[in-house]
Amino acid sequence: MTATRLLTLNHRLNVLGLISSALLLYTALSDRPWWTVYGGIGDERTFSADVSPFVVTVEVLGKPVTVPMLFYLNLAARLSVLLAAATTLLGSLLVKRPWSKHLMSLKGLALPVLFLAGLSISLNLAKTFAGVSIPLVGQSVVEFAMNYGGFRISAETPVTAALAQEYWVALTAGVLSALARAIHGRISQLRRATAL
Amino acid sequence: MDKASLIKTITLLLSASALLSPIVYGLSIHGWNLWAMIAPTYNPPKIDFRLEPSGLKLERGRLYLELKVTNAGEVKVVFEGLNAELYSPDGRALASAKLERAVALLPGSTEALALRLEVGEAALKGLASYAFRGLDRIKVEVRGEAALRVFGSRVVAPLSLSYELGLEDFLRQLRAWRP
Repeated sequence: MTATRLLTLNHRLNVLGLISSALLLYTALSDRPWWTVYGGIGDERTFSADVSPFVVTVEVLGKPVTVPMLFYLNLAARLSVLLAAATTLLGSLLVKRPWSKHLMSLKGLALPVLFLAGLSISLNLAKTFAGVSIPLVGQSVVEFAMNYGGFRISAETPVTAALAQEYWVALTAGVLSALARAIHGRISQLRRATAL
Repeated sequence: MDKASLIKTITLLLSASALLSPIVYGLSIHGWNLWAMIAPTYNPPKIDFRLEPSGLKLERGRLYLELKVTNAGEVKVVFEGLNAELYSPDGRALASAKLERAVALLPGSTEALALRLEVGEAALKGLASYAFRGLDRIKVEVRGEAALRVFGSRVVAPLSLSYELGLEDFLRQLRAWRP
């Protein structure tokens, strides 16, 4: 109860909601990747990918790979998170209104969780169907063979993958928004108890 | 409808439109062609190089087979290693050839690859026998593997080319090499 009072400045503001909406806003407006992967030796990159729900950049042998759908999916994700940030901010400021709980969005938490799940599934599919084993985090060597001009050519590429700082910021924003919503629920309970 | 339900409905509608509007807009721009939306577009750079033998060379007491390599592609290629065997027309191994130092080729450039030759006694006798038969040239097959570095990847590619070896020139080089 004391913690709830403290985190809502005596039921006036949802402080965690304010922090999470600020972090969500930063996350949605940032073009930095959440996950990076590159293959190559030294400065030479056989391929590289900078991936976030808002921007996806893929290059193979120095040339870009473009999928038109990704731009629109990224835009949809950005608008959704901006909306979540806006409604969470509004809900956090209007703690006293009984309907404000419905403004506390959980999309901020769903996005990093779904992002990681989607990435794991995609990497597993790449391993199953293309035989290319790219780690989610860490280093490995990708080996593949191809036929070229009647010859069998084999190639190997060291690969490095990492979750970037931006991902952890987004996850923090998500966890805070879930806590903010829980606090909102607690305030509603207290309000109902007081009314009875 | 109470305020809570109204707020719930409005946020739901806004969430759905934020999620779906860009996708519907994208589909309309691409003429409702889903395939055009999901199909990746990629124009890979051309990777192509040509190898041709250019002759024998004696340098600091060592015999080398020189190959002229031209990078006709769009990316830098580094020859890091090359191991090959030279075979006579009747399939006899004449010499082993090895690249001693890496050679980098920028797009459009031509460089010489010097392969150090190791010629055995049996091969020498075989070559001499061709000369005694009055042949002045024989067709030599060069078969092996080339280790390349292309755009940060190590690539191993088989190598196969043929070469008209001038016996007189070769034996003269050998005499100089083994006085």
